[in-house]
Amino acid sequence: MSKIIIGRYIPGNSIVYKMDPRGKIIGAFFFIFLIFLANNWFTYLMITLFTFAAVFATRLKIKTFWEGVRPLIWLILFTSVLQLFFTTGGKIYWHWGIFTISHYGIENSIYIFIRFVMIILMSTVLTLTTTPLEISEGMEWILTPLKYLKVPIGQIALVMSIALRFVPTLMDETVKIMNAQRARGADFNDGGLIKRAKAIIPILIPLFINSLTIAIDLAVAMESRGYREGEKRSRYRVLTWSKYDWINLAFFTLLTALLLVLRKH
Amino acid sequence: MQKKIIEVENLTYTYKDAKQPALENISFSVKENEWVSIIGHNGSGKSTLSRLLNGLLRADEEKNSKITIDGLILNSTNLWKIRDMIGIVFQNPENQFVGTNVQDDVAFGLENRNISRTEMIKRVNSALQAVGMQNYKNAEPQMLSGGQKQRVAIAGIIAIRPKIIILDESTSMLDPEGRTSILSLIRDLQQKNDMTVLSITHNIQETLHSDQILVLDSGKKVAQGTPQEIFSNISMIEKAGLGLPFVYELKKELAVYGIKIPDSVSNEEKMVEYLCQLNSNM
Repeated sequence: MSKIIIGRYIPGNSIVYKMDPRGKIIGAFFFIFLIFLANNWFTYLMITLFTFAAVFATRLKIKTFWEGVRPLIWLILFTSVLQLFFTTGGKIYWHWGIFTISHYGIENSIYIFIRFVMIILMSTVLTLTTTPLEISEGMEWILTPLKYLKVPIGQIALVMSIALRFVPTLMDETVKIMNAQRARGADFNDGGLIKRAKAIIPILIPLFINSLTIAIDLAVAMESRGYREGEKRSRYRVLTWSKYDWINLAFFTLLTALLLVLRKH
Repeated sequence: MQKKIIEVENLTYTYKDAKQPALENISFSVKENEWVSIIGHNGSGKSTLSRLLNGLLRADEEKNSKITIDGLILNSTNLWKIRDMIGIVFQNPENQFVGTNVQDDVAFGLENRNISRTEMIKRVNSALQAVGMQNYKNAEPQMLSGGQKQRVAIAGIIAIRPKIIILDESTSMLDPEGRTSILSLIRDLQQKNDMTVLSITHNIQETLHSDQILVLDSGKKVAQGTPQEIFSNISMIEKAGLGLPFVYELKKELAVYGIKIPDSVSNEEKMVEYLCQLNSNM
């Protein structure tokens, strides 16, 4: 499980780490739209250079990013190959039954490949350099306008931060329960699909009960510390927009401008 | 004459679906700046009492039961004022940690009271300083030991500057070292800030340092008095299903051999001193 790099945070202190999560989240989403602006070699080169600049700015090992892309590599290759064989148009180089390799096909499959890899790299840059808590705070800020639609943003934010705080606790709890069941002879790694699914029950039920106990204890502790639902609360954590965020914003603006100018009309 | 800060009259509380009340006709009072220990065997209603005091539970018949905290009667209008005055440190340090890291957690109570950010930063820092956790400001809960988490919980309570601290078996999950350090920490804070401490505990040894002890047995108050008064009454302690602190246990054993230790010998230092004197006299 620890192999999966998507959604994981790796501590560091390069310039990307100092950026405001709001800027990074908006940037990462905006990037997905940007990538569809690209439609010729030049624009794709720009996108690639920009992404690599972001990747290098994190100062993390390139290997980590490769681990981010690896689980999806089959999907990427599959899509690219489909594009390669089934796109017609331009000069046809090879033809066999329903398969064709054409000029357009080659071009499109490379474009698709770049698109995929760049989107994954960009979102990996976001998750690797931003703690889950920062992401939830950034999201809260971004969702604030929904307050006018009567969405309880404050409560949702509290729920998110408590959920994030209890992920490691519940992980520990799961390991403890599994070990306790193993000590009584449970076997989690053997047998067919059904047998394995059944073996999960002695983990799930205690875990479920424990989470409810924790929830009750926590609710009591929160209330006795003065938490009142719907009451105005002040905030200890604040997000600060720094000069690095202006740099981030400037780069995105520059990229957008370049893409708009250089794209094929 | 010290002011009475907690006054409880005829407090009765029954849990839903329970045949017997968890607490029956409890009356007692606590003076300002006192350390009161509440003892009793499992299920004697100790924790229920702490939850009633800050309004987490409501007494059966509110007309007859009366809780007064610092002159305010506990009712729906005063509930939040009273909660502001009482801080509870619970048993399990894990489950009362609300924030994602140490300083967030300490600030939680302050956020609830809508205190300005500059004031919060000041208070969080001084509270962490008081419990000796200033170097762990950004640590996440899973990186801390149980004792450290309990310290953070105490910091969260002292940041809101309550008049009364209730320790609801706060040290029961800690090792002996963690327990003594937390208790001496609270004793320090109590003296510095003039706080009243209500300590609910199973550890008889801990109660020796308190000003008053309240003994509960099956939801009823059995006795209230100084440790000396309480532990001299051996038959009452045994009836309540409790043990004696080491010094009193030793006194009892020595009495069997005809050595009578005076009542003024009430802690280990005094006991050592007395035994040495006795030895040199022989």
